Amino acid sequence: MSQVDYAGPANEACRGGRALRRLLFAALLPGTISPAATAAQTMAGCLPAVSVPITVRIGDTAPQSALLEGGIETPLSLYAADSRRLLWSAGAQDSAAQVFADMDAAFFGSIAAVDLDSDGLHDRIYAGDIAGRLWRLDLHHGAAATNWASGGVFADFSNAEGRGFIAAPDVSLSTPPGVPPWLNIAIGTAAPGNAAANNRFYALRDHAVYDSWTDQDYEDWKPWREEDLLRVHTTSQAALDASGPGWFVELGRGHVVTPTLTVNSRAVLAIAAVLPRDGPCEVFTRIASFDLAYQRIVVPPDGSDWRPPLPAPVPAGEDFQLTAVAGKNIAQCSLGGQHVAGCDVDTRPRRTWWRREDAE
Amino acid sequence: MRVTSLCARRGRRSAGFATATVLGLVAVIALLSVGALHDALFGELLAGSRQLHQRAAALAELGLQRGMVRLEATTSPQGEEQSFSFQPLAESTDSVVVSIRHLGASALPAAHSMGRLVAHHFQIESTGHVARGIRMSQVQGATRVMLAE
Repeated sequence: MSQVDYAGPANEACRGGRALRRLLFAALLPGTISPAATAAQTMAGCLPAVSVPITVRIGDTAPQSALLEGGIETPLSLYAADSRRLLWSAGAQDSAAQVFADMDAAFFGSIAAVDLDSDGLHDRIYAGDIAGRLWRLDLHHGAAATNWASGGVFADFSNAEGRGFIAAPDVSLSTPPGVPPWLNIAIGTAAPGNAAANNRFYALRDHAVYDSWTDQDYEDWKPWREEDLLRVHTTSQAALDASGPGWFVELGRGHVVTPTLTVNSRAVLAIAAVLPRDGPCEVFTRIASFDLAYQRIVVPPDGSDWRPPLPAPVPAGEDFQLTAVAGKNIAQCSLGGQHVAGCDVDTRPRRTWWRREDAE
Repeated sequence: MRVTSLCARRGRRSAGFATATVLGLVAVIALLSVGALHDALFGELLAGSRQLHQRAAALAELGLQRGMVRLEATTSPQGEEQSFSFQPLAESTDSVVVSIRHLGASALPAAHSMGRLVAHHFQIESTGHVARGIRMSQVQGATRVMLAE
């Protein structure tokens, strides 16, 4: 889970977060920032800076807690959680600890670290850059910072509309019976600077769930593009395609700045529409649901809008919140204090395997 | 006179053969009866034993159900192994012993967002004890998706 951190101005200068946020809100509020300078300043702090907690082992050291952050000059930086000492960085420039030639676009908050084997150490990073490319990096525990990660562009959705990734990828495991498992990477786009952009929701499938790729593997990998994916509409038939690269949905206007939340293979997405005039850092938001197992849009049974709006605006950049309800085995899902029923979590225990011991 | 004595001798021979035959038949019938009785008694014993095993199995299943309820009421999945026992009927000596063990947690639960939710895996072992020292155990695996801490 991302840790929300309103970093100070010193950090902002080198990470460029505030500049990106200002750009995004200029896009969200076309023509309504008046006077522009004042409004921009008001809005600048709306989207929180994102530091992703991650547990790493770099070099011959014990595992340690760290924070992974995006930026402009140095796209990815890893700091020790306690001392803020730089542990590792990645970018296209030689100043980075590890150089990835194509890592020339900024990363904002679109970062997810995955612990694949539940050993407490994170094994992989998925990160989306502002140019619309999703990166995958495999982490090599105990390696020096200069070769700690191997990685490359996993999917390239760069486009002329300026769509990029701001919200963190949402990673979930699919284990349908009879076929190898895969990781679903659900992520939506935002288009800073282009309020009219037709944004996307992508549901990508990483079939190499537990495989750690080498640099050579990444060089050989041909990044998926939008034309490789299945375009899904509201009228598309449900399908279970266990081997494909994934699918996408055109969201229309509105930006995805909040990570998707997946519950029982249903991904719930918040689409930030417009900012209320003269309002605080709040956005009117629509909620869309997608069935990741059967690659379809969840359309209400009455045929109404599949992107129903929330009644009231929500604080910009706020994540879906899950709150355990006392006395009930349910975790209630909300966004900006408003209940979103589609992502409530049933926390009751479920029976799995069973066996009978020898009787006497 | 000679004729009469011959007939009498033949009659005595017949009476001896019949007695032996009857005695033999009685012995066979007695053996069959004892066998049938033994079968019936053994069958009854077997049926009783089978009934007790089924009872023990039903008690073990009841223990699993109570274990699931206990698991559902738990707010924190981590911790020591939980054990409890109960007697379903006060007037009976039948009893059930249940233990719940936390096997581990998966940070990457199937079909749920990684990082936000965690799948906890449990094992519930329930043993039903009935008369004649008969017992039966059932082991149930269970998974509970909970909020990540």
